Amino acid sequence: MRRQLTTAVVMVLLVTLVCGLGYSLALVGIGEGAFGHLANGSLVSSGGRVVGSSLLGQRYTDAAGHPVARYFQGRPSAAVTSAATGGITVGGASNLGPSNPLLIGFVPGVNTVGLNGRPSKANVFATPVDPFCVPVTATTAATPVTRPTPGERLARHADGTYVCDPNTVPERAIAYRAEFGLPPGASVPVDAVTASGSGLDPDISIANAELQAPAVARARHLSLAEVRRLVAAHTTGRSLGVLGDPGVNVLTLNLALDRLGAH
Amino acid sequence: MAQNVIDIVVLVGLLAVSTPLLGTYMARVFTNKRAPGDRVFLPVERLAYRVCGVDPESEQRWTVYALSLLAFSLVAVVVLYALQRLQGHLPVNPDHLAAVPPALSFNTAVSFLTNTNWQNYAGEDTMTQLTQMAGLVTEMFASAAVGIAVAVALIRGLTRARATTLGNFWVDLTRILTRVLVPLSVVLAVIFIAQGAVENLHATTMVTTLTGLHQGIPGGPAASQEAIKQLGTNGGGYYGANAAHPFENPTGLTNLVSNWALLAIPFALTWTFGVMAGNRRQGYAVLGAMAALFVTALVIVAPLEAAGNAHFAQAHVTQATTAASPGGNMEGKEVRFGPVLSAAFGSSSTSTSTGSVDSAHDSYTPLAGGVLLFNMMLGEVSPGGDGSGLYGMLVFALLAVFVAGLMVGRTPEYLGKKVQAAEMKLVVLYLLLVPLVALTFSAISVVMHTSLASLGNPGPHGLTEVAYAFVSASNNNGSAFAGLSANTDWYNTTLGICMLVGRFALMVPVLAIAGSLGRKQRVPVSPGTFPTGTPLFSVLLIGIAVIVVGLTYFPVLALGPIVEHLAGKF
Repeated sequence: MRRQLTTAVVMVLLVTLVCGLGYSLALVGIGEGAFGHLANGSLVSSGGRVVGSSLLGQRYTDAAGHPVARYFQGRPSAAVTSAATGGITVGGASNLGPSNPLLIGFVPGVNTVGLNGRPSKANVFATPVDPFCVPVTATTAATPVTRPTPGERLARHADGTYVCDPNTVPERAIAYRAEFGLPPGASVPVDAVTASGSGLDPDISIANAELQAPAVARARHLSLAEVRRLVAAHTTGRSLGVLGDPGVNVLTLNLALDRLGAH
Repeated sequence: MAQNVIDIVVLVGLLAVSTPLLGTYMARVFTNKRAPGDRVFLPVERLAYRVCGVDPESEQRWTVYALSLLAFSLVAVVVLYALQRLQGHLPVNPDHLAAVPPALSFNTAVSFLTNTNWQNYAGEDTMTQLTQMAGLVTEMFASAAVGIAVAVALIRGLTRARATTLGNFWVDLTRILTRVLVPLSVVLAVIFIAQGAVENLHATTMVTTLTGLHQGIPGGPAASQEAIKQLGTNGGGYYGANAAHPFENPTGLTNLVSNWALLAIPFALTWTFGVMAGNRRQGYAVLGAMAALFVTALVIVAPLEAAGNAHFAQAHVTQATTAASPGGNMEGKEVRFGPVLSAAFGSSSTSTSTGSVDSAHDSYTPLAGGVLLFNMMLGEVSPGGDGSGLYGMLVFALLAVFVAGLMVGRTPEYLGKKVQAAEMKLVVLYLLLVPLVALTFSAISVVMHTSLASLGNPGPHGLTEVAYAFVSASNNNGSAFAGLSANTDWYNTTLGICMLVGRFALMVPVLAIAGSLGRKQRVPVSPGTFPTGTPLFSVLLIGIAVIVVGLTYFPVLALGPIVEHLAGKF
């Protein structure tokens, strides 16, 4: 055993040096040498300063979280950038299950609960615009309540309807229609109301971009045709024509719009 | 959808080409015959043997082979633990990250040692670049090589007659690294970089976005890790979002290459087995069983995810797949991969011991998530991990010939080796240990308040979340229903134990079986021999695998995914 252990120590060191460090550093060399822009994260600049990476999605909202009308909006995101992460943007998914009320809302006959937190046949929190409403608490607004305790205070609007968790799929669909001027009940593409796996999805579907285009054109006083031309120009096709799915790169599209305005 | 089918056909085509090529090549590597590239690799290997004090000509009995493997693993796990604990004081730490806490360091060290790559952390803000390169990448190479070595030792035990030795662990380890894993990884990593995966040693780039928000764009040598992560069926992401992160898996091409890489070696090893057994049909039978299970899972999961979540439709959200929209259940999925290719990746990842994910498995529709869970419950034999898939399926093969032998009342044989009480005891041990730890810890976790607090989702989905975690850890998969907040002392410790049992408590019996079979002489084929190189045997293998797993895990599948599907009106 002793002999095996001695060999093991040397072998582990050797593998660490050659396969761990040597291999990784050699590829850093190849990357920096031959593919500098790509190896360094495909960073893109505007007005001389780096504003992001063409591979990473970002939020096009103001500091208060409201969408900025002159920009195309990316997908909802569960990525976190905070003091706890040292300012590093940590990508991630919502990890909400397919029947979780935080994702699909309270669906009668599936997951609804009453005011006492016990299963209920109807959604007692339903509002005229959102039959799937999941209420938020009055004390810590924006915290959704999926199991109310008796007597718990829930947030309400002046007209008495509940304030709904804005992050469920039905609420996102409602907000999307309002933002882009679609009639109530209009179909919304699924990628516009679901969070991506990475929280950093750089793309939206072409259908999603087409629906946003008129509102962006209005906000920028551009012709719809001009905006749609840019959408087409920033649509990433399938790799080699067949691999993967096509999408519209939101950051490069928005940058192109900004450049258009600058001229 | 039709376009995505082309993508999957390309994947199958690549595998159809790589399996015989890589399989034949590996057979030459493992038989120490003259192999292509000797002129380059032999001097390197001789140097390594000299440095390590290994005599490449001497072979080991199964006990010594196992001891070498355990000694290597013990040293490796200590080094990886120490690296994480000390990383704050070590160089190549541009983001000034602190030491990893003890319980998490233990879990992570065990996780990468056992080829599991379960991650209770996000790499961006937890692991320094030195820990990623010297610690995690090292173990990604080593654990894949160790798995392959055990499979090769079992093949030798099955194919040699009256032999006391199974080869030399150190030689096998070295040759797998120098001739298979490192060269292939370099090629893959260059493809990844050329597509946009990052490969640098920079600190996080702090940027102000278009609308004046803050974004911290991480750096790091991710592309090189991505290559061995897939090829070695490891699956641990450089970043927390794993292969969904655009810096790890930027395009449809890298997604396809990843999907191929994580299946290539496990499928090719069946070919290696056929070549080394001197009877290709033996390899075809195992390959056939693996491929059938793999394709079945794929054709169930992909349409389920493409059909989407029934409850989105009620909110007038359209999930139809069109030229302008990927459609389907897009929660937790990327636009560039869409539901079909994400599901194909998820199914491949859980059928092997990879556990790399390009979409969030927790958000899959109930039955699709259930199939991913079932893939792992099979013991990952369709085609399984590097090495572990083949030895897992060969253990099922021993059980299959035993059952067939019972039916006709003859002593069972496999490749001319009599399978007797000693081997069958080890086979049963192999089959029982994983369900024992996985189900016991799951059961405890759903009654304790502290472990229930970690659940990310209510109802039956929560049970699936816990079961998925323990099944994933004990089968060394590493993918997760990641809503479970498993970075607690309870989960760090118990999942760590599961990973160790699922790795070493299975490898040692496999090596013991190899040693025991290797000593036996070969019985000549007679009219009463049950042929094991036929499609009939493939069917028997599938039947045995599915029945054993079904009997063991059906209750938890019924209470988790199946109840959620029915009660959730999907």
